[in-house]
Order: sequence, then C-alpha cells, then structure tokens
Amino acid sequence: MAREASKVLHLVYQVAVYVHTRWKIRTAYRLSFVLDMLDIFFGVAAYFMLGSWLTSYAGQYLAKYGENYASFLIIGMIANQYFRASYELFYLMVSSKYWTNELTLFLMSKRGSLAMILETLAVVYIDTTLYALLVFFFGFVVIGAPLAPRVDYLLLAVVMLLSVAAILSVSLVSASMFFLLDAKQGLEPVSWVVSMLTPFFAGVYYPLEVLPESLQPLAWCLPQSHGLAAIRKVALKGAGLADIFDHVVFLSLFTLVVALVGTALYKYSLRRALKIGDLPHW
Amino acid sequence: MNVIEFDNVRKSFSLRKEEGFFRGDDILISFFKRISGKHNRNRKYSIDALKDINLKIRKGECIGIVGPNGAGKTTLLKLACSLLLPDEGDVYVCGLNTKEHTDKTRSMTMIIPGSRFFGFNELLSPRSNLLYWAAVYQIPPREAKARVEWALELTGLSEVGDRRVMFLSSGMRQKLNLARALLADREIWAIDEPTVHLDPWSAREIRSFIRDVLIKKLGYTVLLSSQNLSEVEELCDRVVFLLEGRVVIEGTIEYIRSRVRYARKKVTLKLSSPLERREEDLLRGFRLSYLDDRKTVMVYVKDCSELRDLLAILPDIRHKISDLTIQDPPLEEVLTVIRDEVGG
Repeated sequence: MAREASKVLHLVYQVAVYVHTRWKIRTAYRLSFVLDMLDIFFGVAAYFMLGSWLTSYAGQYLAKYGENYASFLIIGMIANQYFRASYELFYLMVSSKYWTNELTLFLMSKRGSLAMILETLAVVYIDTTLYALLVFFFGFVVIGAPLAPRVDYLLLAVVMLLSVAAILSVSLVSASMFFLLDAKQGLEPVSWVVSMLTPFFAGVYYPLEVLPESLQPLAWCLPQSHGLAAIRKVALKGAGLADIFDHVVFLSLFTLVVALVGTALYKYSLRRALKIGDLPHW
Repeated sequence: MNVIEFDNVRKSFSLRKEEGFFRGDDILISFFKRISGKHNRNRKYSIDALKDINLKIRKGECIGIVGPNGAGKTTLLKLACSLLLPDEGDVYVCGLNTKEHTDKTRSMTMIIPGSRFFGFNELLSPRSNLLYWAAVYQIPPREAKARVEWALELTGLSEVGDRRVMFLSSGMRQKLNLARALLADREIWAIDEPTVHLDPWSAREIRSFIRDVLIKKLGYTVLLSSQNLSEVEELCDRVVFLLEGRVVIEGTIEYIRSRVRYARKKVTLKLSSPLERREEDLLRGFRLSYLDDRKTVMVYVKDCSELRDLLAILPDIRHKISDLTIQDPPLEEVLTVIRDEVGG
C-alpha cells in the first residue's frame, strides 16, 4: 500500500517537474507571452461582435442554448480548443518523440510510456486550460456576453472532461496508426477523417438543427456533437444532469469502447514496431 | 558472470521503396503487407543486418564493436538494450530473455546514441534539463538534485551547469548525453560512436570519462561501437569485428593480432635530414610513408624476414637516424588484413 502511494506521489512529482520545465520554456521569451494574451483578447472580441451582429437572425435556432449567438460562439470556441488539442494529441506525441528520437529515451525508463503520456497531457491541457480561462474571462466578464443565471460549474467541468476523454480515446487509435500503417509523415487516416468532419458536423459554429435533416443522425454519431451540445446546455441554459443525461450516456459508452480498443491497438503497435525494428529512428 | 548473451541471433529489416506513386501509397501497401503478416517474411524485400551472432559479454568488461558502415554495429547495440528484438535466436540480459522480459531487460541497460544530440531543451540549462530527465528516470525527488550534481561533476559540466544548452559546444553536449545516462543508474552501457565529429581534445576527454569513470570507478559493463580503431584499442578489453552482419573475429587485441600472420609492424625512423635519392632507393622494396617534413619515415614490415632485410639496410643510413621505434601493427592494419582475407 505504502509502495503504491509512493508511486502515485512520484507521478505527481513528475507532472510537477514537467509543468515547471514547461513554464520555464514558456516564459523564456516574455514578450511572446504578452502577445499571446492580446491575440486571445482580440479573437474573443471578434467572435463577440460577429455573434452580437447575427443574434437577431440566429436566435430562432438557439432556444436550447440560451438564444444568444455571441455566447454560443464563445463557449464553442472554448470547447473546440480542447477538442482540437485532443484529436491528434497521442499521434503527435508519438510522432514528435519519434522524429526527435526522444521515444527511445523515454522507453529506456521503467514507466517511460506513462511518463510520456503524463507529460504530454500536462503540457497540452495546462496550456489549453489557461487559454480557456482567458477566453472565458474576456468573453463573459470583460466583454459581457451573457451566461445562464445559474451555472452548475462542477457539471460543466465533468461534461468537458468526458468530452475530452472521448476524443482522447480516438486519439489513441490514431497514435497506433503511426507504426501500424507506417503513417509517419503527418497523414494519419483516423484523425484526418475526424478533424475533417468536425467543422461541418459537430456544430462548433452553428447548432446542428441548421443541418439538413438527413445529415443530422450522422452528426450525432460524433462525440464532439454531444460534448458541445451538453456543454452549451449547462453553461448557457443552466441545464442539470437530467437534461443532458442522453449526451452523458453516449459520451461514457463511446469513451469506454474506443479507449479499450485504442489502448490495445497502441500497445500492439509498439510491440510490433519493436519486433520489426521500427522503434528507434536512428 | 555473463551480463549479455547473444545466442544464434539473426535480425533482418524490410526494405522500402524509395519513391511512391502518390502521397500515402506506402500506407496502403504496408497496411496490406502488415495485415497479411508478410511484412518481414519476404526475403526479397528484406536485408539481413545480423546473422548467426553468438557473443558473451562479461560483467565489468569493455567490449569494442567495430566494422565498416552498415556492418550491424548499431543494430547489435539496440538488440543488447532491448530496443529491437531478434527475428531468430535469443538475447539474454542478466539471464533474462529480452523477448519475454522486454521492459525489465531494457531498464537494466542504457544506450547512448553517439554524436546524436536530442531530448534536451536548448533554452534551458543542463541542470534544468537533467532534473527533468531525473524525473523521467524515476529518481526520487529527494535524491534528484544531488544526483544531477553528481552527474554534472563526473562529466566535468558543473561550471556550465547554468548556461543555456544552446551555448554548449559539441564536446559539452556529448558530455551532457553521458550525464543524462549516468542519472539512470544502469550498469550496462551501449555507447554508439561517442567521439565522432569531436575535436581531438574533446574526444580525449570523452575517452578518459569512459575509461576512468565508467570502467574503473563505477565498474560498469560497456559495449562501445566505434569507427575510431585507436580509441577501441585504448579502451576495450575485447573486440568484436563485424562484417556484413557476421562476427568475423572476436577476442582480445593480442589474440586478434596473433591470428594474423601478415599484419605489418611499423618501424618509425626519425632522421636528422631527409633521405637522398640513393638512400630512398635502398628502401624501395618496402611499404613506406613519410610525414610532411620527410624527416620521419614509417616503414611497414610484414614478418621477421622483412625486418631482417630492413635492419641490413639501416647501417647505410645510420648517420641520419636519431631515433628508431618498432611498434606492433595497429588494430586498423590487423582488421584490414582480416577483411581482405575474408573478401569484404
């Protein structure tokens, strides 16, 4: 028991070291840090203006989501940032570590694979969360786009986590293609298909009710569609768990099945790479 | 005690087309090959990197892996560190089969990828980078700082520990590679071409680190792959000569020398003034080379009878000879003879 606890503590320590290292790199050029902040502010302001301008027209489609198009867009912007960071996360992790030869060094460590995944998750999601918090702050506090009068922030965080987990499980399948299909040059079929379908089908910029009726069932097969719908309902309409239960069930089942398949494929791909001599790049 | 054992090992790699029909066609082709399981079985598309390798490496030994480019040196190191698995035969690390205990055997070894420098952030200092790797290599937080300082000190990097990596010279970067490997506390090291692209002085520092710290002080087992044969001669107890994936000869340097009848001894003559035409003619039957000022002549003799012939001539030029040394044939000469004999 004590041994397990010390392993967990060590993992926490590892993540802290990665985050600290990342922070040092991030702040090595302070001016770019400030420019990033300005970039986010003007991005949010542009979405707000676009949303305010179109609200009178778009409002009729937004009954389920609070009827304000600017808020709809800003929440979509936050959620989509998490989704975009997640589609190819594991594929890019394997790819970058492979081409920079770090994969070999990580695998020389006992829990190297886990360390690599933890580092990537910590680095990507701390960055994304900082971005999301800034967008939220600029959009809903500084500029003043409306939120629901009462928002269950815990439920919002859980739905966001669940949506990210569903997309990460796809990302595991995508990462295993790096070795299984020898997809080393950035052309990876799984994440390519998912990222190609997302802008059209997932409802980042418009509600899915706008799509032709024949296409709507297809759109609801994507985890992003359920994630975005649930997040918007909670944040903009003040929905509770009962109101978004169908989305939560879909996301949970999707994550469970695809994560199991993804983990098995990922492990198999590494083993296969080891056998055919594909693992070290040099 | 053997720490690494290669038992009838064979390893082959598949060859890929150099150019394709369209972007991504290699994905489809390899998909069907891999799914059908024909990827590595089709000999037409594969090349044997290592064949019938039988080797035993003892604890605390420094063994040199030498051979021309493409002979299979790096493949051998990767197999020893469980970064590859053999197609046929077995590799054992401390008695454990790498096929069955891949993660465990890998965590007993450490590979240092020679002149290749990666895994360090150029904006950070060696100290920060090493702290990061200490976390990856599971060093407990309380020990991490002390261990990093220890690694920096042993590699002579303490003074530049806070300088950004981007400002380190090639020699320092190679030392940083070695410092990172020290952190992991593994007793079996596979070092690939440690001094290639380094200036002679940096190379000498790296060699003395391997000899004095790794071998003498820490008693580690070292597999050293190198093209620099004088380096291998200086550091290694035993040498394995690979040619086209096979072990051509293996043993101590003395043993390898003794196996070659025609490797030439080197007789170095230091002269007070360059030889005249008439004196050069006397040496015409020998293999010679001169240093730039032509006051140093190297004569290579392949056996005792040639040495006697040379000694018979020397009195005619003895007034010019200020120094004379006879050396055993260098490893390079010996291995060249062996390579010529086996037709490589």
